[in-house]
Amino acid sequence: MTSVGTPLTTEFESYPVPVAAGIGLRHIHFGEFLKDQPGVAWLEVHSENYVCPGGSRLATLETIRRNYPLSCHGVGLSLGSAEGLDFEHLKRLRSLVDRFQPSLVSEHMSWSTAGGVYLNDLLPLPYTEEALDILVRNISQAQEALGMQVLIENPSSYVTFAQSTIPEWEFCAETARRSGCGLLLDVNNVYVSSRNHGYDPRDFLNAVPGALVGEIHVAGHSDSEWDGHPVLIDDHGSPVKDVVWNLLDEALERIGPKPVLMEWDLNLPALDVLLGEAAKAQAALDQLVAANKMLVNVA
Amino acid sequence: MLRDLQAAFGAELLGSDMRVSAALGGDRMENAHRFGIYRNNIFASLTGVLEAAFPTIHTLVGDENFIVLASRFIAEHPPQEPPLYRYGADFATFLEDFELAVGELPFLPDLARVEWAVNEAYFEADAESLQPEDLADLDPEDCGNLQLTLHPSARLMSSGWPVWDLWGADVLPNPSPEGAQQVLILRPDAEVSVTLLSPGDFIFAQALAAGMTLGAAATAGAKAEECFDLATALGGHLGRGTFRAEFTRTAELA
Repeated sequence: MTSVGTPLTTEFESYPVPVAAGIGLRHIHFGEFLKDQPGVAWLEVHSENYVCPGGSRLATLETIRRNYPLSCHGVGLSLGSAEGLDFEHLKRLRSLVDRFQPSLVSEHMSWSTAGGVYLNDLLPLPYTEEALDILVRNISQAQEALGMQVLIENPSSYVTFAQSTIPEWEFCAETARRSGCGLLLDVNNVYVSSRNHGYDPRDFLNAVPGALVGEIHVAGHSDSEWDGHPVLIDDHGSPVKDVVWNLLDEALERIGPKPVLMEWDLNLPALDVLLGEAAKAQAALDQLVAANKMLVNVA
Repeated sequence: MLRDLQAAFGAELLGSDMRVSAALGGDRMENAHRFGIYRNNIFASLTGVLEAAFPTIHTLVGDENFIVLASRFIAEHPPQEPPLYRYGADFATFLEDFELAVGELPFLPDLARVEWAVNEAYFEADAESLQPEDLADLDPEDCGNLQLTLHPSARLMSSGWPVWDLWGADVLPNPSPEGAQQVLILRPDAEVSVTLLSPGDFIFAQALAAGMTLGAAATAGAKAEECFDLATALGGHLGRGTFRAEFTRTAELA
């Protein structure tokens, strides 16, 4: 049992997230992380699961944090909300950052709050100048409040808006250029959205400013159909599909090696399955490094 | 305006009309299906949050009934903030007004209150508990003037139903349960406990929580229950960590 009540003054060794494969840390795997320190290069948590005042969840993360580089991935800040940011929530996130000292903090290019109601999903934005202005303003405020650069993730989506005037990839790149944020390139989301909305995922990859990408996500999705059209659902409930691994290879080749995170949220399997997926992501990174060395040698 | 679009989108996710459809690109019928994916994500994830906070109610009413209760609750009381560990505070009050549920299971709202207190205790701030040895050096005459504070995770609850028997039950009791019970919900360390208190002990703890001295609280406890015994009650609370480590004597306050 983890003891509760540790003072909040712990200084962690700086442990930056390395250019290697990591996994999402989920509560059901706490025991194994406390007991065995499984071999994985870094961990990512959902920020909103750790904004409580106390209890064993925080104490456990503090113990695990001593041994792993950490990334805090937020799902609730609603950076795309026209009504602006929830500053109470920003304060909670700042406390989390101060306490756990993650080297990466990320959020989404989406919205969740309207009229003060929190809708608990990553909802799509219309890609317009107005939405871009709002998003950029909110990201700038968030980065100021958190005292660090934030990585913004491209979302998966199921609907588009008639009023959109900017391709998603341009909207994404422009967000980073104007706000000074970094990008979290989710290649599964690129694939899911490209199939749902009928574009070539390479159009997205080719437009992403590689130097601004600080992290890559891979995850599983499920396939469905409606009236003969594919509808892919980004449910993070299964192994990464081959098409997404292939897209990861292409992305790495284009933008260079980055920290890669394997996400799994629904129907969580045994930790070994997650570590196996992370090993595949690591192999993709290793293969890239080997290929680059060969190029250097040839030159 | 983005603000109007988001208001319509949000209202539609929690309701069922399709006003936002005109703003979507692509086929109207297919969009209705795709929009449903968002609605399903929201209702399924929040139902999961409620299941985790109210595990006994979930077990007792069963999956299907719980989904009905949760869906109504989510539509009527959607979350107001991103930290979902605080989502469900209104569930007990909502159940009171839900005739279908309380008609057959009148104890449901109070059981929800116990489960919510357990949920709150789990995430509440950490604090050191008062240990028996902390009081060892005190002059016995001073003891009556002690003022003890409850641990931040402590919650006291009195119910007209046997909530201590019901909490954690895995089948609906038959015949319907009867009898009042008082409980203390507490998380002094990692685990939350739910303890059955005697009527005198409950009044005693409640009096301490209200800021009364140990002596005055003991008198209140004895008034509520003839066989209330201060040493037994205090020993029990010290053993389980009911109080904060810090305490004062009323003399010090003067």
